Amino acid sequence: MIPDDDKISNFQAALIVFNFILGAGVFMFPSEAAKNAGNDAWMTTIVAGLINILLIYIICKGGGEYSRYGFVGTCRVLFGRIFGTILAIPVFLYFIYAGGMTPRLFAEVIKLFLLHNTPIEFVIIPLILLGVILVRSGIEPMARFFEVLLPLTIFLVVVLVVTVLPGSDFTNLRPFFSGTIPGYLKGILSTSWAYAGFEILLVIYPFMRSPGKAFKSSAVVMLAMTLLYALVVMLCIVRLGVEETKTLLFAPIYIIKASEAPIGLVERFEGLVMALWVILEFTTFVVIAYGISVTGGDLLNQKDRKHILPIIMPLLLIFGLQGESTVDFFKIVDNIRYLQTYTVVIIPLVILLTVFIKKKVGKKSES
Amino acid sequence: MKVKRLVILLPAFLLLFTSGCWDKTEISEKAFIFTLAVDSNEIQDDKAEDNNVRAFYESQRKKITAIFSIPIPSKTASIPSSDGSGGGGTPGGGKAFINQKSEGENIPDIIKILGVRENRTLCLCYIKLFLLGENLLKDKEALLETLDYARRDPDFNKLAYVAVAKGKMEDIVNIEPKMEKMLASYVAGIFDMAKKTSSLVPVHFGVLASTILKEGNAVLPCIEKADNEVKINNLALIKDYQLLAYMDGKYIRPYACINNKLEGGTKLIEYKGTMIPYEISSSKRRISLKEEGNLLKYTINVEMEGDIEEFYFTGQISEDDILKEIKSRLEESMKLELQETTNYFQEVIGCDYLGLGEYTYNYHNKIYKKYKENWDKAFSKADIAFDVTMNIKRIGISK
Repeated sequence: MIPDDDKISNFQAALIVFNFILGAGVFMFPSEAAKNAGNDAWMTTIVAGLINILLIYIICKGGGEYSRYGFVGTCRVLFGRIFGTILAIPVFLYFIYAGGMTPRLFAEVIKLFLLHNTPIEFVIIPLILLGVILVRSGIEPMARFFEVLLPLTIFLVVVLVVTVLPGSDFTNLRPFFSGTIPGYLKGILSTSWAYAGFEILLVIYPFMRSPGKAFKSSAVVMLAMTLLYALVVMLCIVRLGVEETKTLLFAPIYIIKASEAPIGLVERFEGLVMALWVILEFTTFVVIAYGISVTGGDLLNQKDRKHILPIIMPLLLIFGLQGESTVDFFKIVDNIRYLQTYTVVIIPLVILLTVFIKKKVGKKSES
Repeated sequence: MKVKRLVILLPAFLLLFTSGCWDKTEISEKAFIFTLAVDSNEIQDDKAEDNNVRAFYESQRKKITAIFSIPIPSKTASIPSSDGSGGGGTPGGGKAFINQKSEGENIPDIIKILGVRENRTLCLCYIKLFLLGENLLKDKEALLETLDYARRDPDFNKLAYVAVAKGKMEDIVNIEPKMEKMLASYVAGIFDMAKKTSSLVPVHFGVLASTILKEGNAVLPCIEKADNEVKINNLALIKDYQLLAYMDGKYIRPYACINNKLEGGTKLIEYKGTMIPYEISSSKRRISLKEEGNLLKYTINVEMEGDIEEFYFTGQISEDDILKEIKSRLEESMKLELQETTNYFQEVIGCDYLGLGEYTYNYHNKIYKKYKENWDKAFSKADIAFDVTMNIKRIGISK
């Protein structure tokens, strides 16, 4: 019997993090990784994943202490009402920006491969509307929806490997360690952005039944994502070589197009992959939308959050339609890194340090 | 509750009637291109003379010629021949395809030109055969533009087989094969079987794009017209995006062997006046490298497995040391074959198509960096020795 308290289990929380991370980033990061780290892109991808586990630890350690207040509540408790609100606003803005960028990125890929003539607004708006409908029902139905999708995601990964692996030349991964240290560091940094998604933990803590165990389940998810991303970039390099991987916008889609499906499966397999990927991109947007509704509702001291998203929707559309061409849009996406750094690194560190200092001060005053 | 259900049902109802409006596609509105043949008209570039912006650039220079081979759906069904002699014809007779030819600046320009002659949208997603003309391989700029279009277009089928059209392109695309309705299906079928014969080196467009992007070098099969069939027995060697030379077909098997791509084929060996076919079932090669002074010394170990397909009717191959002797002769012959091929690439071609540069780059990167600037020269001077083992696994069902 599922309790009717709109709370989620650790497994469901891990799935929320998993579905947030697995989106358009998986198609775009191989070219950047290959540009910076060359043949060793798969190594920098693994290192970036491990660094993100550390960031998850910081979020869980800091956020876990005041989990019942939520993210905005935690900031207000630690830093005071006004200053705490000011610190929380950039995170809210980050979710809005991400909520605008994600449907646009989704629409760009869809327009390129599937719907050439459909106006981009008519691809973005249905995605936003559907996401809003799901978010309004609460976190628990959302998490159950993600549980249903998990087998599809696993199927997609298995099919990707089975299709692409035959005919791959693993000598393309050689020579090992032939890059430069600055290149590796740049590669680790650029790939780290592709893992962005675990920052939703900041927001969903009050909705978890056992928030104390959040780190374990999230770390397992991040390990799985690290392996998946390393596998994707490795497949791109063994199939295409480093030079071609660097030049392609969406290398994983290209390798599926350039691979023959195993005997017995359909021809032009990328159609099935794209259909499954649409669902994954939708789940990414749904999680971001949930982040917007919770953070926005808490900032405005609203008890019920269902009305926040419909108010924010036009902003999402406006942000999503920025940038004339795909190239301009990707430049704007790079600008979101500042807000992302604040959300993923700075504010969790500040919270953790403040919690740590408060504990020390508390112990001293007791003694 | 009822209002809630209505609110959810209404968009679902609207979706049924409004979704897919812009990208709605009727299959009868599409012309599926099976063969795309592109050749250059060798027009001199006038960019250097005139760098001013003009109003219209379309169709000013006939830089390339493209031929689109499109199947006629109503004629692709087979009908039994009236005299019962087997082999089908097309309903209503005639060819099962049409060839649309046009000239223009580049492929998108040509598609636009054909738009006023063709009542269907040209669709590149099912291209099976991509033919590059001989003149295109001499015109680096036109080749680069054509390759970029094929790579950049998301719909262009990356699994299309690429080949060089030797001779007149129109003659080749007009071939009506005997066993298939379309040339593309016929040639694609030959390439699909190539693994078993080792007399061909099939190349998908995706593979060509990633290979040629490294250093501008690639190897492509050549198609020629022979009666009403195709002849595919040479390889075109491309260097720096231009045709370097045509390689004799006899070197295809050793070329594939040294590049570790040999998967089948039959080698003949003479034994006491009898030509014995040895069917290769697998081939592996291992390379080792030593640098002595400024000389690169490669030792290539080749190990093959195969079966004997034929002997002498009254002889018994399993007797005494016959198999040992055949094996020894096979190994010697294969070694000579590999040596002759290597000498051909070192002395005649003067360029590394044998994958030794790639091996050195991957496994001996420091050595490769020393010779990187002039790798072809280092390759031509290299000492390449072979150590061949050919195992005979099966001899058929008779002794």
